[in-house]
Amino acid sequence: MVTFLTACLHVLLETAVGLAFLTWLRRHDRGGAVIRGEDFPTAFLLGLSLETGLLGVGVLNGFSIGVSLGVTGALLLPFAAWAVRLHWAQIKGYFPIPSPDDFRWYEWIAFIVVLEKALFGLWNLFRLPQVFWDALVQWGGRGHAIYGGVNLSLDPQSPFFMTLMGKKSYPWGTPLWQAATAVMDGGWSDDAARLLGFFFFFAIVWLGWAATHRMTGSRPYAAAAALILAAFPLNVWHLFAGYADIGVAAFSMAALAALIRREWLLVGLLAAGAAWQKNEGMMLFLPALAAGALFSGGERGLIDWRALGRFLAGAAAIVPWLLFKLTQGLPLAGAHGQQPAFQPEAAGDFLYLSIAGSSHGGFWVVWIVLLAWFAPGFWRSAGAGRAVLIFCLAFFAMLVGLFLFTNLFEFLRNQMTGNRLMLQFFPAALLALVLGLARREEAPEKRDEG
Amino acid sequence: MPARILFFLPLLFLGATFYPGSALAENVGVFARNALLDGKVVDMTFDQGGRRFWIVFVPEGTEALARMEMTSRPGRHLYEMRHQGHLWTGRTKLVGVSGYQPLAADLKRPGWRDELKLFFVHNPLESHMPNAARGYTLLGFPFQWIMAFLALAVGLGAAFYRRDRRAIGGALFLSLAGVWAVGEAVTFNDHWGHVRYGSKNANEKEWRERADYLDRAAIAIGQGSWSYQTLDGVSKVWSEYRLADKRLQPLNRPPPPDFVLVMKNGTMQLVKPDDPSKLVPTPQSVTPRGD
Repeated sequence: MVTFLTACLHVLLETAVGLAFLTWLRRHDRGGAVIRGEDFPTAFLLGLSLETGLLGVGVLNGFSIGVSLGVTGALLLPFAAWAVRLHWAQIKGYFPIPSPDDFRWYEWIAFIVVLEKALFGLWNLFRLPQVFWDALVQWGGRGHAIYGGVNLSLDPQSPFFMTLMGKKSYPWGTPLWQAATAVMDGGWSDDAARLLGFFFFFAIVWLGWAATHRMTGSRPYAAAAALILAAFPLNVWHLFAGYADIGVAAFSMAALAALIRREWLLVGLLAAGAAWQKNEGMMLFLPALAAGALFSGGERGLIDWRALGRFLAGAAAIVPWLLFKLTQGLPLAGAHGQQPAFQPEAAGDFLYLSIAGSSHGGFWVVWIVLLAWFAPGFWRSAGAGRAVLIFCLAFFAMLVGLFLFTNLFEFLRNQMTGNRLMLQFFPAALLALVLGLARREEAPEKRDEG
Repeated sequence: MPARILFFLPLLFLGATFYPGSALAENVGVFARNALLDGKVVDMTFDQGGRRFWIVFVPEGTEALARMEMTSRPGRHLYEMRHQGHLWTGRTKLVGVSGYQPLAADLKRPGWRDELKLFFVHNPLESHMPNAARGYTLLGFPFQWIMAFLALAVGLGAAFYRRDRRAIGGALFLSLAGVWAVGEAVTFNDHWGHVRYGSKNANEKEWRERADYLDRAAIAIGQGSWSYQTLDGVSKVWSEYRLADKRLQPLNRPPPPDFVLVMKNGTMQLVKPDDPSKLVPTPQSVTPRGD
């Protein structure tokens, strides 16, 4: 429980840092400094990226996680305090805790579903040790080694290069958060290794609820979006599993919400955040979002180089990590060295396992129908609608390409990756549908026409 | 792909892992040979619940064994296998059980009462859960297919009733949420099963005991160094994770470590490298997780 409270404090501080960064960013990008519902989860993700990015600079230059955290806190917290003070009135005024009397019946249902997931996740968190394989190897093990500092080397010849466990090329966003939480908590615990998934889950649900309400102006749609996001079958396991996939899901969703608002710098930063969580962020989401930015042209033409430029300026936040990997001889992404190999069976398996499999509750079947329904309108629209459509199509094309034309096919068949990739994509995919609803319903605050 | 497979076969390979035939064959208690799998489940009787076992079979057209991790329930029960998708169709060379052995086992085509029982049985926590959520089969159909069909039918029906093409998107979106809200009753039941029976799950007991021992070993190691020998994949990964903040000294590099973790009689033990027969005492249980 103490670790839980420490992690809550950690997330609150990150949210404050993110809010400060968002305020500064909006002075240089579109959107103004308005505080809305989506800004809190987005600020959390931004703050998390900024904090773990600076921690990474410290640790990868040979400093301990404790020293790195101290310096990072000293640099960021005054900045955060300034932003909170600046926006205190708006924050107090916005904070979405309605009275139970204001809840409609469908909002109660959505709330109960979200609450059940939270309680089930916490029950597992507090009761079970860290058990899941990739969480032990790829994230928790590396986080624990960074925290301990003794099984970590920056010498590429050492067996402890980039810690004793896991793929050397995997990014450090999640392990650094785990190690920093352990430092704040005074010691390592399994809860420190897994609680980030809990906060990502709530960021996704909150962002979905708030963004849907803003875009459609409809409370039933907002409650429905929150319910679908919470009830997605695979999601509840990632709430406490300690994997970084749910982190990619949160970042990609926040990036798409920013794309719909046409805040291109922010889209780029959040895409970099997704890449800092997991290599799929780098390989799939960053290019798909870039494609969306490029084809977001308004009335004057299909291509918008300016949007792409701003997006890339934001996404450049991941460049130091890529340069580090390059200088250390680490692969940019893909620890398994994908080899071209046509896999004719992959199409059927992708359809059965990832589109219509039980990990997704039939979501993708309905999603494909709805996207097809909205697609003509998206394409005709100048701006965000077309960008969202391009993002979805580009992501799917890359996914199909990876499974159909490389040896990654084996991860589809043995269920190691296929479902988790779809989990990473599903919150953003849902948001794409919400944009379609917003256009159809002619929402009061329609922003997709740029 | 034949249409009947598209519409009538379950989807998932859930938890199925392929192994070379020879690796498991010697440990498998075979109960069916040259049998048709279509539409069938496994009928088994166990004397104890909460024990881990694997249903092992050879999918048609392959030479490899596929296996599905399961947890026993005391007495006679049916165990769902149709969610293994097109692996669990056609004629198999053999079906058997590895791990904890049943008193009796056979293949069975379930009746409607069996179908309802299978639908409401809860899925115990297993280590593959973050990769693939276990599904349900209702009256032979994958439950997620039923939900998708209902969401489409209700949504399109509502839009048709309103005679408003513009309403199709919204109606489909809301009907998906509505159908999922109803389907959540099944998830709640499943989660409640975890809460009620989790402490009796052999997986969970094994996990807690392993974590507890390694945490005690960490205290015994203190500021010293450690290494491991004869640990299998899972034990190696667990020890590396839980002892990641204790200096790992590879055995093939001098100086020798202060402590060595070894696997003896199926359990991990901490020993001194110069006297592997003598166990290093560890403190009392330090992991306050439990039933």
